[in-house]
Amino acid sequence: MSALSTAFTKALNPYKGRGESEQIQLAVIDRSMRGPALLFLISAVLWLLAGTVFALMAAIKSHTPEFMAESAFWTFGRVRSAHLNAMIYGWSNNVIFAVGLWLMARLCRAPIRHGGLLYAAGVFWNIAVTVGIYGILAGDMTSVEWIEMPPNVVPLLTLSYALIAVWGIVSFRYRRGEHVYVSQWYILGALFWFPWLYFVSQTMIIFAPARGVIQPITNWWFAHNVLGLWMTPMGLAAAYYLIPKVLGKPIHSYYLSILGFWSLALFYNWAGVHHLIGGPIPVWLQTAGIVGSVMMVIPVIVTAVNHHLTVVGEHSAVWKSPTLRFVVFGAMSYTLVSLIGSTMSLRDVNEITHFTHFTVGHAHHGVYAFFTMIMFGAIYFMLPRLIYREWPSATLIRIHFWCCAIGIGVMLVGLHVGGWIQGMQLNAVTEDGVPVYTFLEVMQNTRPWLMSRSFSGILLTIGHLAFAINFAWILLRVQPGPEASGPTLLQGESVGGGK
Amino acid sequence: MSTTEERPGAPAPEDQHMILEHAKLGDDSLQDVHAQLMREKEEPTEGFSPIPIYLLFVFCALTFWAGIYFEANSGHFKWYAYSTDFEVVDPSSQVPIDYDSLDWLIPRGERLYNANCATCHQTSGMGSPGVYPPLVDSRWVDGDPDRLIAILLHGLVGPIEVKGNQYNGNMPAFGAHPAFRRDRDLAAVMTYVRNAWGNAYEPILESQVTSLREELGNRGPWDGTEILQVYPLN
Repeated sequence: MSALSTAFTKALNPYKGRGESEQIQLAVIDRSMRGPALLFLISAVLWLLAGTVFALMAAIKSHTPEFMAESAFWTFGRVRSAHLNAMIYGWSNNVIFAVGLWLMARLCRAPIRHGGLLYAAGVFWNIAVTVGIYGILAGDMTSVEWIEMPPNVVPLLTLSYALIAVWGIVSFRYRRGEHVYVSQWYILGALFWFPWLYFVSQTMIIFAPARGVIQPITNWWFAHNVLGLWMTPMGLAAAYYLIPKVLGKPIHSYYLSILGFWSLALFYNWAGVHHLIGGPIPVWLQTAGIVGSVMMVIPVIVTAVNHHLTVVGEHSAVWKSPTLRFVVFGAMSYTLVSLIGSTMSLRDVNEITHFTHFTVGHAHHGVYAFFTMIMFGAIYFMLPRLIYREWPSATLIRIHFWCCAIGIGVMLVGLHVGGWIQGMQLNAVTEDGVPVYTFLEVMQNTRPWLMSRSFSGILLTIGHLAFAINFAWILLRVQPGPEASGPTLLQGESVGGGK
Repeated sequence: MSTTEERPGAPAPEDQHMILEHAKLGDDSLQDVHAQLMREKEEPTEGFSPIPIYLLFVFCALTFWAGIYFEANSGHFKWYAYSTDFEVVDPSSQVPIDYDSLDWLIPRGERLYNANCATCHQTSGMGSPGVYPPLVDSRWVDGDPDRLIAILLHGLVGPIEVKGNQYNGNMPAFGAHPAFRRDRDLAAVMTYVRNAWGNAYEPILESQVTSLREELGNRGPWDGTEILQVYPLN
């Protein structure tokens, strides 16, 4: 090994041959992630609030189109995309960077080195997202769903992503201990999958466009896999870490974990094409997408069984811990949303649900009820350990949980039922093949359901505000109360601000 | 979540102190760290319970279904199969298409005309006064097929007289137009024009277009007088 590469390896290697106890290692690791994680979390919460505002505006416009219609900046097409991008690249990616890197470092027993680069990359990432979303609102968006940001921010996003993700991989490279825990597989996989998805889709759609229908295929491969091979593995990694960690018992089965991971890696990649069922792409590809979607039942059932058998008998602990209450809600949503998704991919069902609000409901089921709820739980666990403070108010946590749980529940019922009715009415024809309903009638009939979505949006906004206030309080050193001497819990032994 | 008991196997306090000094912790934060760590449980581990056998049966059944479904709905893996009921047709059993028959030329020509010509000449074939001449009952369309072919191949600019009216427009060349990829497409649209709206003239065939294209070679658009010198109205 040359002197240069030796020096390089030394610079990357996160420890210098010390033999600490596990607990001291965790303290050192938490300190190494403290600053960068705070940067990512603060950005994530701000983006969550911005994305919520965009979402509310888009939701109201969908049933009351004259709302704020006089300004081109806030037209539906732009606000909707601004919402999507703020939530994906702003909220989700920032929170993934914080939680994913922190979990990786903890599980590898390897502190994050060179945190200064993480600050820089984090700042650049958020600048790029801000510019991108401004570009969307200013009318410079591309017409491609999920990559609407103007192409000129893509290089900066890619570069900052690389500078952030590499530290997760370096931690893994210098991990200690023989056993690689299931969360580490998911995080390591996702850290490689996301840049591959992003690079390929940007190249084949924007920078060196492929011909014809290759573009939508690439588009939906990307869009679905951002959920499937980026958010899902990160969400599952957090659930796989937090459930056994908080309960203090091992995950039920290593074999189930391994089957779940590899079947997810194998099948999810195929599923995105189900967005193009009935479209002008070769039918074997559509069928492959359907088969991939249905086979996702395997990793989903496996994960559900694994989590359930770990949690079983500990339900009061789940209910008492803010972390687990959110994480278990998310894990259960994962099972439900995936099974619904597999069903939706079948041709007979897809004929009804395609091009309706059902799909919109399904997307929120995955990204919100599953991923976002788990990430809320992860933040409730992570932040007290990073800054040695407790959550100031258990009441705000309770408001957060119930507003989000009921809010997303109302939204899912509204959009699924409304979308199904919409699909049935769009497809309804008389014996002579004449449509029973005009397009305008079908649209009118969706209005009550869209209003229920706006109502759910108000609930979610309240929940997010409660979370943001608690988040600001803990950062600003608002104390839970003089008698507080332990973690903030939601029931029983609660010693935090919850009275 | 509220464990406070000492974990077994923790190092002696003096060891911890030494290591934490290395991490540059002050006394206050040292206490903080201790309070935090003492409440945490073990880092997660995995049990080794076997996979329930009924799950494996379910997964085998799913995999079996997937294979059958994939094969049955694959459109024989042809790139040009867009529907599940696609069937491969044996080419030898197909009747070859006669590209010189009116059954092929007219419908094809109508589609091409409506997509490419009707913008100017109108679906009625009546054109617009002063710019786009009518194609109905016109001596320019009638008679010698070569005149019509020559105009379509290379275009026509400048003033012309049709049915007693002056027209000054710009007829583009369609000889290399992407909508008319083969000469039989040009033949089809001309045959349609010569047989629509009450016109009833001889069809124009692909071979005629091809031979005139070779004869004329590469050239610019015609003008109104030149075309009539070469192909006079009859």
